Amino acid sequence: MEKQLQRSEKQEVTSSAEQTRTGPVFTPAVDIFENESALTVLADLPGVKPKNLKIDLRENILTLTALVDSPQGEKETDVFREYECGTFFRQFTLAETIDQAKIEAELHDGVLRLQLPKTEAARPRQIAVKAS
Amino acid sequence: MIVRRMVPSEGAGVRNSGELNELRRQMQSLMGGMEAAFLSSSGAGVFPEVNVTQDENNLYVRAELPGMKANELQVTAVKNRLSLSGTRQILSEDETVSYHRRERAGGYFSRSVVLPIDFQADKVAADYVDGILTVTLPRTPEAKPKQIQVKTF
Repeated sequence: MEKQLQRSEKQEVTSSAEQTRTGPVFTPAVDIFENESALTVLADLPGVKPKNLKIDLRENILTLTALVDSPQGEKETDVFREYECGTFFRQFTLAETIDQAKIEAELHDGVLRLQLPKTEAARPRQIAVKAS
Repeated sequence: MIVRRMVPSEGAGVRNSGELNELRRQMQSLMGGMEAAFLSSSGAGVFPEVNVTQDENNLYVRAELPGMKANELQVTAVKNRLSLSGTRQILSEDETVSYHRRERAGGYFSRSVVLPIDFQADKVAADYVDGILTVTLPRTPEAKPKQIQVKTF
């Protein structure tokens, strides 16, 4: 039996960084998982276009910043409003060493899939035990 | 709440009625605020949250539904009721992965919204772009705003 989706309020943050754009800032829901070769981040970013998404990785801190252009037309007025649109912002500290040149990001239907391959040095190795 | 003073008390003059008006205005804005809070929570617990907007030709209902396919969304309109339903699938990754965070939820949803303005149910259109569903509901001709000419004599 499939479970019913529950409403979960968008998580608003008071970002530590000063905002240059007014409006609320939300924390996107993410899935993060890894296997031996890569770390993968999936993030729900509804309404974000690829050109408005910024992914930054420096000093092992991964930062996602996504601006949302309001989908409303200029002449539209509110009848009722249950959610707000705003900027998505989230930061992660990565424990693994990432091969920056091989990072891949795809954004489809409001979901980001970010592949962060580990460097060769960070991959687990099987060490053969020699018997003398 | 209406409080009517049956017997005018001593000194209840113009100044007092001004204060009463001010009080009434404050009460109304307080009640209005409560009403707005009630309205905004009317969809509490029901996924997805929707925003409804209007312009002179259409009503627009929008919902954030990232990571779906257009054919996984069902939109139905009957009279002044719009229903949105579907199943959001979170595909499981292969079993070798270990999860650090798992916040994205999957499952089915069904929601209907009764709209306060009449629309033409047979001309409703739905678009799904960047994870946002937009349903456009054309107003009935009767529900379109009309400019009324003010005559002078």
